[in-house]
Amino acid sequence: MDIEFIVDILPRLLNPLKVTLLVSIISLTLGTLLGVSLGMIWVASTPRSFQRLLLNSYVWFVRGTPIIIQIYIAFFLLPKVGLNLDVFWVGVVALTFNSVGYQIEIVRAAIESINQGQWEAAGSIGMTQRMTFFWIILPQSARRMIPPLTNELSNLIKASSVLSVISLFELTKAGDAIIASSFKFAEVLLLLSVLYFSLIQALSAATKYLETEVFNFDKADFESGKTFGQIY
Amino acid sequence: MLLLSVQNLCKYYGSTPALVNINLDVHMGEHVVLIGSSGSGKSTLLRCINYLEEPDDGRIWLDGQYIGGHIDQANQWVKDQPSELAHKRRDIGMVFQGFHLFAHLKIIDNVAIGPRRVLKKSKATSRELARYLLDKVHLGKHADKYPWQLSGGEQQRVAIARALAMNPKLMLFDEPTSALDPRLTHEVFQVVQELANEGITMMIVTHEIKFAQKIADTIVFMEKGEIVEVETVQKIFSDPQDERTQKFLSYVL
Ligand SMILES: Nc1ncnc2c1ncn2[C@@H]1O[C@H](COP(=O)(O)OP(=O)(O)OP(=O)(O)O)[C@@H](O)[C@H]1O
Ligand SMILES: [Mg+2]
Repeated sequence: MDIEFIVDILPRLLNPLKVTLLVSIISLTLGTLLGVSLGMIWVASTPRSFQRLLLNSYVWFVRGTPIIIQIYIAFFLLPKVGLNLDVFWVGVVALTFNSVGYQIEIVRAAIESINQGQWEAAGSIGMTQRMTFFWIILPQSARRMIPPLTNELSNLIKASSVLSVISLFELTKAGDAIIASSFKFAEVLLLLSVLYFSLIQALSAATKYLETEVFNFDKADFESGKTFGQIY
Repeated sequence: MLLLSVQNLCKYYGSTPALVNINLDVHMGEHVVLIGSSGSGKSTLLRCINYLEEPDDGRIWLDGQYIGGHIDQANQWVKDQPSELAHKRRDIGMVFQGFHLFAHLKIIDNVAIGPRRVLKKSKATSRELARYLLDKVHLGKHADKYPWQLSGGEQQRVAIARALAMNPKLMLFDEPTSALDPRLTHEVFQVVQELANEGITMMIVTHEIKFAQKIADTIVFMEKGEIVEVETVQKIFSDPQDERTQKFLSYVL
């Protein structure tokens, strides 16, 4: 193992690392905005409605096809509809499209995990469904969405490595290039693994902080084991 | 003066009848206690009054208007839009067995959120009202805590304050103490009694017969989705008319 070589190439991977981080975080954020909106529509729609059918098909498609195919579709389809985006943004579109499919499920599960009594209590003081959703249900679901969203972010970081197939110069692509010119597989692969691993660990720690320190209102959930409002 | 009139109310769950042709009048300032064995339809009746459950038939009339709809010029029943129903629900406060405080809001905001978001009052006004009501239920010092930091009895008193914040014409209590131990039950009943003394109109479902005897003007005894007997509190305990009432009271007294 050539340690000196690893130290040598590290600076060359910092920019690609930034690309990996950015493409994942931007996709997660856009995915959350869309996922929450579509998840709301899912919850508000009736079982056999058109909206529900459409959203379910979307979720099935995303879950049932490999991400590499979704990336190629974005890569070839976007120019066809007149959108000549930079390859970075093609990556964002593809990952967002993918992530929304999972996030609809995350949002749906979080909303449905909130006790029905919260809806009833809000209704009984004259709140409309919409008000209840925004003031009562969404803030409480938000905290429950953090763990699965963290998981989703780590999935996106790993999935972003597939963007190397459309020549986005992210971490994996940059590693490929170094291997091609140096043939030092072991060193490069080790370094890539460590970088991906550290990135995911750092982000997980950050979201854990968000969960316990920022959204700290219902400690009852995980500390005392008390679950008030769940008497039934 | 008549405040609430339940007219020919029916409710089915599938083919099982939960309420069968219920008729009941409640007057302003009256304190009605509903008793009856488990599954007799007491909760369903309260929940139909504010349309948390939609009745299958019959009407709920409250102080000049029907809940859940209105009668148009052609004498046809027109269902309320969700926003109209929400507006009418402001007049009916509800206290649940499971408290259902808003878990993400501080105690003060649990009470203030109704005035703030529904009545669109200013933040300062809403909080001032909330403080006043929290003092009234003897919880002023807990204003800045979260619901999970309070005992069940305290949570239930917050729930009462939250309902009062909308200045309702009628308060509904569905077994407000059945999740509480005797000491906490006492705390909650004390608050309910104080409200009763102020003349607030209320309907209470409870299995605590002692409390019922103390607070009620009128007792409604239900069985199998029907109202069996409506009587003044003095009369029903000393001289119940219906055989079923006699039997039920012989178990609980
Ligand atoms: N959501 C529901 N779905 C189906 N059946 C229901 C539902 N809610 C109530 N019921 C049925 O309706 C009947 C009346 O129930 P209700 O809860 O009103 O009784 P209750 O008098 O409040 O009883 P308890 O003292 O146990 O609270 C019961 O037979 C019950 O099984
Ligand atoms: Mg009940």
